[in-house]
Amino acid sequence: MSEKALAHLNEALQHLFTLTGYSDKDPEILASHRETTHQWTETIVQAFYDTLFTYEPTAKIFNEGERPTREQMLRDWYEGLTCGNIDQNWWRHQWFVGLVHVKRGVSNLFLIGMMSRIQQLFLDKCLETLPPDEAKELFGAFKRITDVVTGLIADGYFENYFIALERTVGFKTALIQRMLDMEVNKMLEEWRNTTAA
Amino acid sequence: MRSEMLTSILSELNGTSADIEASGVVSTDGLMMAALLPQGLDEDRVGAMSAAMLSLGDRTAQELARGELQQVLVKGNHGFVLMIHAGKEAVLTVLAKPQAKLGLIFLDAKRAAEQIAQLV
Repeated sequence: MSEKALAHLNEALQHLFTLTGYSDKDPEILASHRETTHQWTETIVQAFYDTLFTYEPTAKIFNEGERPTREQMLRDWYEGLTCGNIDQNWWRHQWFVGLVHVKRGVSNLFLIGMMSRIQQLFLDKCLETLPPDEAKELFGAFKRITDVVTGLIADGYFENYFIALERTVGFKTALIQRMLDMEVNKMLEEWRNTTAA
Repeated sequence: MRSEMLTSILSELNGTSADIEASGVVSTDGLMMAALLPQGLDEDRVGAMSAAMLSLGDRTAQELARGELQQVLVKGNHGFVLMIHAGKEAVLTVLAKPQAKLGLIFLDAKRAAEQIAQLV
């Protein structure tokens, strides 16, 4: 990972940690409940992939026979997360998932939709299994961590677009940003004129 | 002060030939540093496009083993746009009429680019 990309990742983490209210206690809360949360793994994994495979736009991302491999990756991710083994390397890996998503055609819409689905499944399990205060604490920790993950993957998706452009056609990120800013101003003006009419 | 000196170089360049209609100095991230452009041309857009064209030209010349980029030339029905490096951090953009003698334009632009490179 280049120095520039690492600096960007650290800045992204700082923003997300601050705005979500994430703290180092959150992985500890997950770790303290791992025996319980690991019992939910199969329910969450099956529901996740049932959703994806029964919705045509997401189903067509997958190759024939790929489901077992994908399920295992999600199992590993979920159980790793709920063990509370979260460090800088783990966050860095989440950011690179954005690059994989670009390659596989997994849009940020799909990412956000499915992370919401995982969070809902986890919440249901917390409420079914634990006393209310404990459910709230556990779900809060899980939600903050997975919201940071969502932010990192979505950010990684766009940032790697810019990096790929710079590497292929030589457009500096600052130049792309400048062009975007100009065009966005125009588009906003057009939208305002349309809505005012 | 530097902006005035750049404008002075552009003014001299524009004056060398009646076929040169406009010129500008742009940073490699698309920011206009100095410009003598006709009315109706958006400086910001000209800046961004010039930087983009030269960046793409650089990468193309390298990828297709054409060596170091010397210039990018766009030919339209109503004239030419010439873009050349003016040092590592700047681009000189020159707009010329369709009947312009390109050899002279290239020479004058190259001289101006060398002067600009000293300043930026």
